[in-house]
Amino acid sequence: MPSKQEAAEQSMKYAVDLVFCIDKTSSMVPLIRRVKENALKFHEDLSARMEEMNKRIDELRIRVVAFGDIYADGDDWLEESDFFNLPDQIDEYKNFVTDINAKGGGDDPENGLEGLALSLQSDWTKGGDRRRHVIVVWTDTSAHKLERAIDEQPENYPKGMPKSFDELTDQWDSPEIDASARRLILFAPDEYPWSDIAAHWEEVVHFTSKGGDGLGEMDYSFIMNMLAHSI
Amino acid sequence: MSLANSVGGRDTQRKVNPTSDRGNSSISTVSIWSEKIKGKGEDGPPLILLSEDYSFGIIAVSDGVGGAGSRPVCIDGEQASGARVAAMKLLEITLAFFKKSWLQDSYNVDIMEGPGNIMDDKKTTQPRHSEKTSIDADIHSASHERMSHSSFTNLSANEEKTRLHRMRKHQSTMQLKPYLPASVGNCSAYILDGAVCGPNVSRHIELLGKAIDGAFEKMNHGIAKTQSSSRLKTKIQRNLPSTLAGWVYRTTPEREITAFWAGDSRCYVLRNDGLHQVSQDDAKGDFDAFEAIWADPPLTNYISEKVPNNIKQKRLLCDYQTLLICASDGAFNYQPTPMEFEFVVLRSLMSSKNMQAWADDLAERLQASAGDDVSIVLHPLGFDSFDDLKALYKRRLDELKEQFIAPLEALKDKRAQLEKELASLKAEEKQKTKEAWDQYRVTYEQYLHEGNLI
Repeated sequence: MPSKQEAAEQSMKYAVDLVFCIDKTSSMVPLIRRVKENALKFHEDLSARMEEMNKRIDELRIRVVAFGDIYADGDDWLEESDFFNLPDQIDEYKNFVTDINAKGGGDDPENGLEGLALSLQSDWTKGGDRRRHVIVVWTDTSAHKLERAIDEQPENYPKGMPKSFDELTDQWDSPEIDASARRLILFAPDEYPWSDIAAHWEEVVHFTSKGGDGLGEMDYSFIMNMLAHSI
Repeated sequence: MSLANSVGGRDTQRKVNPTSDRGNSSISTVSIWSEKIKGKGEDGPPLILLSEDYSFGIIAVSDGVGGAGSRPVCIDGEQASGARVAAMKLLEITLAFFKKSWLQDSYNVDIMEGPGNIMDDKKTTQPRHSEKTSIDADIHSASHERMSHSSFTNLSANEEKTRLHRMRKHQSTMQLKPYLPASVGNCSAYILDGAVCGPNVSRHIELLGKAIDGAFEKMNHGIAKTQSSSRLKTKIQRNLPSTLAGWVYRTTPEREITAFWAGDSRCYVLRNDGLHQVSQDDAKGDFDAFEAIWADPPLTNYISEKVPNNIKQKRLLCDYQTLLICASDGAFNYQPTPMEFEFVVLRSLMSSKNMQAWADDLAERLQASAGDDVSIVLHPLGFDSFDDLKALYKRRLDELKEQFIAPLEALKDKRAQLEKELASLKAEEKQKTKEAWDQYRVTYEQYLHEGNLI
C-alpha cells in the first residue's frame, strides 16, 4: 500500500501559465483599479480552487500584456512582460501590474485582437504532468479588425500578427496550442470580436460586461471551476 | 452455489441469493465509490442490476463533467452542481429503464427486430419522437411504440397468446430485491426477480438513450424555470453533463457482453491475457490511453440536457472467464500507465482473502493516488469461487510484473538511488565548500579586522 508521502509524490503535478491581457486605454479609468485587483488575486483564487480539488500546482507563472490603440498611442500602445515565476517573483509581478495606468487610446475600438494574438504567442510552459494555459482579457470595448494593419500598418506594429480574424482563429486551433491546456476568459462587452470568439471558439468563457463589471460570485465560481476541472 | 456458476452457464436452474453465503470463497460483484470531497462528489454511486439467476445483468458508472457542469442546479428542492445531479440521476434513469424493459415487454423488441450482429460497433439512432416526457412516461412511450409495432409482425395467435401470458407472469412476479456486492461506499445494487432479457441488447441500449433524453429534457425544463439569467456565454457550459459507462451481459444462448458509454469513463474486460479497453474515449485529439493520462483532453461527447444524446456501444462474444469492468477516470487516470492500473487491480486481488477484502484494499490503493472521485465496478463472469478468480489471474500478474512492471520499477529505483546520491553529493559539496572557505578565509580576511598591510 503506498504511503501518503508516496501518494503525494505520485499525484499529478500541474504547471499553470496565466496571461493577463489588459486594456489600458483611458476609457478603462473607472475600471482599471478593480481589474488590477482581480489580476493580482486571480492566481490565488485559482490555486485555492485547485487545492480544494487536490490538484497540486507545481509551477505557476504569470505574464501581462497591457494594450492600447496603436493607431492613436504610437509607441505607448503596448506594455508587456515576460513570465514572472511565482511565488519567487511576486513583488516584480505586483509592481508591473500596479504601474499600469489607464490612458490614451483615442476613440473606440482598441487593439484588443493584437493583444490577444500576442498573448496567444506566449512561450507556454511544457512542464508538469498536466498544464493549464490561461488567457484572461479585460476590456470595455470592441477591437480594430486585424485587416486594418494591412492598409495602414504603423512602423511599430508587432511582427507575426495574424492578418484576419480567421487566421487568429486558426492559431487558437493550431497544434502549437495545447488543446487540453488552453482556456480563454473574456471580460468584455457583447461586441465584435468578443461575442464572435465566444460563439465559435472552444474552451472560451465570455462574461459580457465592461471589463468584468458586475461579475457575481456564481459566475466567478463557474470560471474558476472551468479552469480547475477537466472539460 | 456461486454467482459464477450461474453466470458461467452451469447449473442455471438453481437460484441462490449470493448474499446468503459470504464465506471467504464466495464470489460477487465489487463496487467502489468514493468522493474526493465528501458530499460534493460528482460520480454517481455505481449501478448493479442482476437477474435472479445471474444469467444476465447490467453494471454501470457515471461521472459528472465538473468543468462544464459546475453551476449549481436545483432539483427536487435540493441544490448541487449540475455535474453531480446529472451523474446521480443518470444511473437512476438507467436502473428504472432496465427494470421496466426486462420486466415488461422485451419480447416485442426481439421478435420485431431479431438479434443484432455480433462484434459490431454501433451508435444509437436518433429518437423517433422528441416530445418532452417524464422518465416513466418516456419509457412507457417507448414500450407502447414497440407494442404497437408488434401488431404488424407475423405472430401466430398461439405465439401472441404465449407472449402475453409470459408478460403477465413477469409483471405479476416482478420484484426488485437488494443485492449486496463486495463494496466500498454507496451503490445501487439489486436482483430483479422475474426479469427476461431478450437477445436484442443493442436495441435496449438505443432505447435507454431515448429514455435519458426525455428525462434530461424534463429535468432541464425544471432547472430553466428556477435559474437566474447569467451574462456568461460559453460553449462549455451544460446544465446536466455526465459521462456514462457500463456493461450489459447475458449468458444465453451465447455468452454476449455489450459495452455502452458516452464520454471518457471506460469499459474494460480483464482476462487471463490481460486488461483490454473496449470503449473508445469520446475525447478531442488522437491520444492513446497512455498519452491521455497526461493530456487530459476535452470531451467531445457526453450525456447532457442537449438531446439527442449519443450512447455508443460495442458487442462482443465472451467464451472465457472474464472480469467486466466499468470505471470513471478517477479510477484509472491517476495511475502512471494503463499497465499499472491492471497491476493495481491484480496485486490487490492477490493480496486479499475474499471479495470484500479485495474491495477494501483496491479502494484504498485507488484513492491513494486519485485526484478525483473514484467509481468502479468489477463483475466476474464464469468463476466458481474467489479462489478460482485468484488462480486465473495469478499467472497473469506474474507475467505482467515480469514483463512490464518490474523493469519500470527497476528504472524508478535506479533513478531514486541516483537522485539520493546526487542529493548526498550536493550536500557534501556544500559542506566541503563551507569547510574550505572557513580554512581559506583565515588569511583572506586577515587584514579586514587587523592593522595595516606590512
